[in-house]
Amino acid sequence: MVKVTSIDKTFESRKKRVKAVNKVSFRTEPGEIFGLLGPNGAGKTTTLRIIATLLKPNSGKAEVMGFDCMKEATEVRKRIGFLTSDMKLSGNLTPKELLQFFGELSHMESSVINKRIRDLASYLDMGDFLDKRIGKLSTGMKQKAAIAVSLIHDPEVIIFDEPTNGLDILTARTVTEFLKDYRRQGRTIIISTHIMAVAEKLCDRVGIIFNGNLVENDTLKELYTKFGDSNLEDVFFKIAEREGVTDNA
Amino acid sequence: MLRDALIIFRKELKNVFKDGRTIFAVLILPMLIMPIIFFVINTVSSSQVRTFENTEYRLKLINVPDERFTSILGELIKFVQVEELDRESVLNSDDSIIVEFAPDSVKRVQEGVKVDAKLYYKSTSRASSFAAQMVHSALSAYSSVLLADRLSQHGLTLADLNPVEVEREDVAPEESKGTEALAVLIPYFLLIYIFSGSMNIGLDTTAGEKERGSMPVLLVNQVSRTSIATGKILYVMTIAVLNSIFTFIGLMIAFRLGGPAFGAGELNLSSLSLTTLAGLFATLLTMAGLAASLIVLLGSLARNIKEGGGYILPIYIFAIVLGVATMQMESPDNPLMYFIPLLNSIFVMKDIITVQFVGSRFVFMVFSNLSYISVFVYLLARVFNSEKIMDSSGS
Repeated sequence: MVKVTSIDKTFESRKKRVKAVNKVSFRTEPGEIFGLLGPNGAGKTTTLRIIATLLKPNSGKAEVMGFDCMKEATEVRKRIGFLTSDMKLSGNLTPKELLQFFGELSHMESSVINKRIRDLASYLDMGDFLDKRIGKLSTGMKQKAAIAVSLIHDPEVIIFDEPTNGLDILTARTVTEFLKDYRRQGRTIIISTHIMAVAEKLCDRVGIIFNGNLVENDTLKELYTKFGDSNLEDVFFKIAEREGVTDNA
Repeated sequence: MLRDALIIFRKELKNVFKDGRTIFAVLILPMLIMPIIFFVINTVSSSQVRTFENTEYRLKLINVPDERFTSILGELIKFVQVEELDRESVLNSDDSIIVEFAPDSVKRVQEGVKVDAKLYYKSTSRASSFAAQMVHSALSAYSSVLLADRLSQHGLTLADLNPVEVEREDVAPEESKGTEALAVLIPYFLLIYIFSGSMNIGLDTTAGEKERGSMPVLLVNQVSRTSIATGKILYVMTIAVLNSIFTFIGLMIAFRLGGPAFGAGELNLSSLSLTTLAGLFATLLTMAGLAASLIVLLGSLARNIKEGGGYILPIYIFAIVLGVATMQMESPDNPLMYFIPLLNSIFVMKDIITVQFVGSRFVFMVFSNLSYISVFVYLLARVFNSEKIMDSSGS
């Protein structure tokens, strides 16, 4: 279970002060996929990084399975699998060697690590490239390897930032199917995405975030009813219009 | 904590040694580079000397007092006498020299008074300078012949001009004789290679990981920040030490190959006993630890490799300057000097190489270096905890 209560996060530099997250609250239960939806720079990644203990909120509280993300970061880290959107695996190690490394760091027994590698390889269809150097893999293969790395210690809570970003349709399908399967196993899953189709396919509940504010937090069904539409993209644009958000890119 | 650090250390080392090009750059190249440099310099310099020696120079000899000078000169260089040379032709060629004695030189030699001679050559030409040097040597030898003549007229010999005969005896221990040059070269090269060997690797494992976005995966793991810091420092330190050891081996091969360059013939390589090598290795370890921890710290402060390079370059230049500045320095007695990072290691290495090991200096050096390393590990752990430095998502 993940509980986020009124978190604020402001980034300050000498030149500017940006409020990235403003009083965001939500709760995700086991067996549920919660999707954070929003345009680039809305505060999705910052929120996920706070839950993943990489950032500290200025105020508010984030908890993972009852552990405070600020005060009990190590306990939280034991229980989460985190995938960043900008992670680019590289180097001379193979996915297998990298998985062994992260398994050892999680203090897992060698036999358990090997079994877990076999399971993940089969699960994510990694058998063909498990022993190939990461530097020589395709983007999709690297993404699968990165997902496997974040799951090697069999975490209860999965936090994926834009997990299908830049993937071809086949790899994206493997990832979404895998997340659905993890939900069936009773894991708590939080993803961020700006692809409405992914959110529609995967998420039980979505939080829509604009300019650091979580403006909606409902199940898809509730959102469709509320906005009188059966398409998430249309719902999203109605909310954007209501919030006065325009494309200023 | 150490267990996690060693896991990180092993992974980094495995990653780097799976790449043939990195193995070549870290181990093979440093071992080859010194022998190659020595070989090239020796070959070029001996070939030049041979060319100069075999050249037949064009000499205009004016007012030569007697044939003895020409005869002495003929033993030093090959030459042919030409009459048509002037200042302009000396300037326009590399093999022309004019030696002009005073017009009354024959008379002056007979009267036993001073004889003036003038030498025209071109300093910007190495061949002309070589020939001028030979002519100068011939003039000196001829001068000694004239002096011997004059002394003999008074019943004296050249030896009578030196009433005090000096005999020097070197009381330095046999094993430390001829180690001065080694004490100049070895600390310098080891210091340089400690930094050059660890710079790129240190940057890649810190700023490079940030740039690739792989750092957060490590940071969301349950492993402590101190373990990450220690693991990365151990890795960079190992590469730096390996790089230096292979450079050292290359240096020894180059010295063994010898030759005129760098005065290699004057080196006492037999002074490098197992004890000396063990002492050097221990000093190298602490110096590498210090350099690695500093490089990893600076690399971690940078947002990308380019920025990290900007932070580390001044430290590298400082190390080069320090190496050059201390080349001719002897180890000082002041114990405080052994608390100054890098300088302490250089002085202790000089002590070890010249077989003048002082235990207290070594202890001060080890103690201070380990203290600096501990401070850097602590700061690095803080850097890994700092979201401002480690997380670029909000910047």
